[in-house]
Amino acid sequence: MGHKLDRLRTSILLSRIIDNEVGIIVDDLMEKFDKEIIPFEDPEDPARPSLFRDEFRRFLERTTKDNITIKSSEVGSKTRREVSLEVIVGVGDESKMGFGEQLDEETTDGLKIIGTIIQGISGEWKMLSAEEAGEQVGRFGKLVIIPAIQYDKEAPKKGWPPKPIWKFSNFPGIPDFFDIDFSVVVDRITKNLAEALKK
Amino acid sequence: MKKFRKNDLSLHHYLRYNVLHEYIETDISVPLVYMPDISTTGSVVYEAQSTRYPSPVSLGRGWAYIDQYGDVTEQQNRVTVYDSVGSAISGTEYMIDYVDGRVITSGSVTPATVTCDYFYVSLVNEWQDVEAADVAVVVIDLNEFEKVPFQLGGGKRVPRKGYLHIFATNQAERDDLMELLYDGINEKCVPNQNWTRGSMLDWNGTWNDDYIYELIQYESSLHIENVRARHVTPPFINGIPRTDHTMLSDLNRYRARIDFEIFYWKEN
Repeated sequence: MGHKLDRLRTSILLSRIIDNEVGIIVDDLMEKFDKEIIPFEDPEDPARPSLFRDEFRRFLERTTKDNITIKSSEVGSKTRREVSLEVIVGVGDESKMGFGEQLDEETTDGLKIIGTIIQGISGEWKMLSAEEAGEQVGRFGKLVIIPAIQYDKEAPKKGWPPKPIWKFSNFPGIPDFFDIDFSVVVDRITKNLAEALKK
Repeated sequence: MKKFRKNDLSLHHYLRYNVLHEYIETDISVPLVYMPDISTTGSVVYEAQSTRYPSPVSLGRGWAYIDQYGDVTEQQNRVTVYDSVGSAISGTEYMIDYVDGRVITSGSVTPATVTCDYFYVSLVNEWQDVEAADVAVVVIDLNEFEKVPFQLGGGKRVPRKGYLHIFATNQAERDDLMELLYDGINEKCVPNQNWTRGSMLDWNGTWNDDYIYELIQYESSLHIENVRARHVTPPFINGIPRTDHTMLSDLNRYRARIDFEIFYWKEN
């Protein structure tokens, strides 16, 4: 009975620690977002990344929490048993950020914009919204990017407004955006748990 | 030349000849056209007019200038120049501009065609070059470094984070390139060349006769580890409806990325 209570207590403490840890990880990522993406945006762009900042933060919080898993197992002898914990940390939902090949229908326009910026894109592009096009554009979303040459060719025929080149065209991406020193994160979780258990 | 540049050149050379050699192709009997505008007395220039796509001399490509990885002298078998009756002209009669695909003679011979090996995959260092290079393209992207002292002793470990961005023409090519590059660098070592007298090619694309093979003293070779390969599909690209026009966007459609760490040990 006491053993089960110990495990329950550990689990509650761990859950609190992980909530706190998610906040720290997301703060670090949002700092990169503010430093490495926002300064390059066009303040006149109606779909500029800063408009999706809060949505991106919520996405990171939700998916990072989903990606931290704890596996516990009992080890030891008949007389002395201990609980071993394994912490596995991952960040974000990579498929929505452009890793892999599946486009998720739940990937919002904001996430598409940020994912495309993080992965980088070669060539010159213009952005078109469903509102401006007067019809559905793309497969799922309300926004698409179109090669600038194609946009300029089709715009007069289709009544699309003149547009500047999308500011993140020919952008080399931020390949290290999700690079986090996970050993530091795991160490911190372990240390915080040990201290909480002492109390 | 700074260390960063030397590392970059060493990796570039390794990838070009030791990993991507499978993608060296042969262009046969390419007509050579006399270029009066850039010819002078004693320096007669002929340019190869290849019909291949992508062009063998487009950005990041060019003709092969050594026979195989490890060679330190100019190629003997990669480029053969013929006269109008199809006889091979001796290599002592001309120089080759490997970057622009040109043959330069003193005027004593009249070359008519060339058969040459060239790099199908463009290898560039700048993301901005991708569009100009035409797929297939591999971008080498070496990032920041931090010199970390040894735990014991006075030396330093100098690590760098690196990325290979792959842009391919189709899914099969992307997957082939991704696997080839992954296997080619995973847990491998690259000679850390000093490039004391410059790279193998001179500024004008001809073989650098001063080139010497020399490793950097008191430094280890470049070690590559923590290699990870992934497909990349920028979310917006996947949302574009496929039409004839959007073929233009195919540059970004078949992409992959290989992340790695490259480091060397340095004595104080």
